[in-house]
Amino acid sequence: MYVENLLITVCVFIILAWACYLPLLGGQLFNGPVYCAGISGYFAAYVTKVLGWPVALGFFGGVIFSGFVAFGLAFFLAPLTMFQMAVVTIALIFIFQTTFRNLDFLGGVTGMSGIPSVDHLVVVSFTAIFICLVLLHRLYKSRWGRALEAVEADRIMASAMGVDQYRMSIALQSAAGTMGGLAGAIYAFNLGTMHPDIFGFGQLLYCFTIVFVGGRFTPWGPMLLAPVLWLIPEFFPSSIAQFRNIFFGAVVILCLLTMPKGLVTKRTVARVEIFLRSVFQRAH
Amino acid sequence: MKKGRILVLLSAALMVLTPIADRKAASSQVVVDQWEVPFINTWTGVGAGYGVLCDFFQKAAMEEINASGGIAGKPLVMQDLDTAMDATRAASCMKKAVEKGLVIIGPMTSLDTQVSAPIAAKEGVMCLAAAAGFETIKDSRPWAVVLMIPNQKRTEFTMNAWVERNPGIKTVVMLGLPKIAQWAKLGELQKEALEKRGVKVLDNIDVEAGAVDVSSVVIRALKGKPDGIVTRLMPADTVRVISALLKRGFKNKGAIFTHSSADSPELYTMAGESGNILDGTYIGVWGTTNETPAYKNLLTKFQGLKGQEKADKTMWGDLFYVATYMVKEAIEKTGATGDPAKLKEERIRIRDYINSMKNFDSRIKGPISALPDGSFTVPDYLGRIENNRAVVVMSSSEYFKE
Repeated sequence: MYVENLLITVCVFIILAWACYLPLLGGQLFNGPVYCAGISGYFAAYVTKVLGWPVALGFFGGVIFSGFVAFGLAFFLAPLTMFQMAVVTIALIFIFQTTFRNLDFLGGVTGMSGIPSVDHLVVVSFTAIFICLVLLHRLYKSRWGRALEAVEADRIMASAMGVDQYRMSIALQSAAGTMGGLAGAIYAFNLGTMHPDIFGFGQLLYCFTIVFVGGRFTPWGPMLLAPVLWLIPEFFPSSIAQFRNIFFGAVVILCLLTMPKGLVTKRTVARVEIFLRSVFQRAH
Repeated sequence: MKKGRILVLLSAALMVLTPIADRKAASSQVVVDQWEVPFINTWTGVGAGYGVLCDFFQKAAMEEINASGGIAGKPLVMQDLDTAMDATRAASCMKKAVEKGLVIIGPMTSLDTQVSAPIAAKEGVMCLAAAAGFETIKDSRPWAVVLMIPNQKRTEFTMNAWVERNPGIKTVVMLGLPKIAQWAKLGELQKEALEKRGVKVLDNIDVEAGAVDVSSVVIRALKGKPDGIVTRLMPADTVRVISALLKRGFKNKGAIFTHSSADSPELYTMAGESGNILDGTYIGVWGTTNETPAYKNLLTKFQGLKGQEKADKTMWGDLFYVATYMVKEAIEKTGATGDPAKLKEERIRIRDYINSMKNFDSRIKGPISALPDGSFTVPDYLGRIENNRAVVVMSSSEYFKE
């Protein structure tokens, strides 16, 4: 049970970090995945626990609903600059948290517990990771991926080349919101509890630490760093637990100072690809 | 006649020897070399300051128990699990604890309990969330208990006892820390209790923790000219706010009530440095001076902690001291063996034992009993600050005539 929980939690953080990473590809600091995770988690919790919907319906309902919320808000957020969007979406995190805290039918300040459990949630989580990875990889190699890179490098140049940044931003925010929703639904069914404090500013910082330290230019960085960051405190000896945050902070600072682009860069990925290809060729 | 005498003697001998034999059998049945009990607490993160103190009290009980022969002859060791006051990690800690734990001490905070107690309930392990809010275990009964009376009753007691001593209070302004969900709930309960008595709450103002300048909130608080002030803040913020209130003309010190969350050595140290400014105000009090040798011993140890040298009483973290002794008694009285094959059945016996405790000798808080809703009759108090010390005015036991 414990190991299963660790695996699922790591999957949640990977998906949430990817959801934050995706808009960064297009030069957008969009914090929506965090509140979308909360929306999806609460939606899934409410419809399965109170309305008695089947778990699968509640799960996908939560994901789709959070995607719609992100899509709706995207029309207003899309014209914003990177920093405006960062500030507005941080404000939205607080707005949604306060809303959850004040809605009695969602449990108010004490949250909701007793959410029905999902069988084989580990399999569901790994399937979600696999699907997200394939989609991100396909996006990265596609025309859209190149357009995103162009926007990230120079917005004006990208516009001159015909990239519709408004539509691209809407698509990115919707996709990131849906991915955040996926993470939130898995989280809710894993813990069996939703609480207004869970998907807040702390969670946002944690996700961006994963993205920036892991490497914000490929999906592999967050994927490798999420388990490391989560498991360090888990296996840190309890006798020196009080120094855990110092150690944690030192690792993050050291990584960012020595590797400003993160642990896994495009070059790292290319090297690994070449290495694996040569190993594969030698084997044959 | 002789046969009769022999029979009587035999039965008397049996009556005397059976408990001894039973005790020996019970101790020989224990299959573990030590009792490893999970302790879910917060050693790092936002709540670490409180967590370290809770750990101190828990470990003090553990050391005493081990020095006096352990539990059923075996030493008690703790499996320390740190939630870092993070809901996700709290769930992770609980999932680790329920794997082998016979009974669990903790979690410490309400948020951690809210998230993780349902996991304990689902897996059928008793958890003693000693200091958490009562609301947090409602869905996890009977597998979770809290060692204090429910917030609703406590709030009703403190508000009523305070207003009774200040009959002139007709209007009140509340100042609270907004980020702690349980305190927001507490604010609602305080408002309810006051309104039941016909006291109008003019405003409920959010005060951020560690705010450098509190003058704006104080001006807002005094705008409606309230008769009374209720605060739910951290100790340092409480001193800052009350100091600003007095400077801006709020004269009736008795009409200021501070929630028990601030009742700590930090509060009195800061108030002392500001010229005993809290003298004459009322405060909710958890710990109280107690004349039992166990309490005196514990207080002396507590004063040995860095920063607690001036403490004249323990703090609410001492509930973990009580919880540890409860675990000892539950294991011994239910004859638990620690045998993994009997884990499920022994967990149920421990649950039933703890839920039906009557007049349990808490050593430091007098005899306490379990209530049907999962709370315990641990008293709390209304205090009045005199010479920078909280002097007990009334206890909840006295108020509710428990």
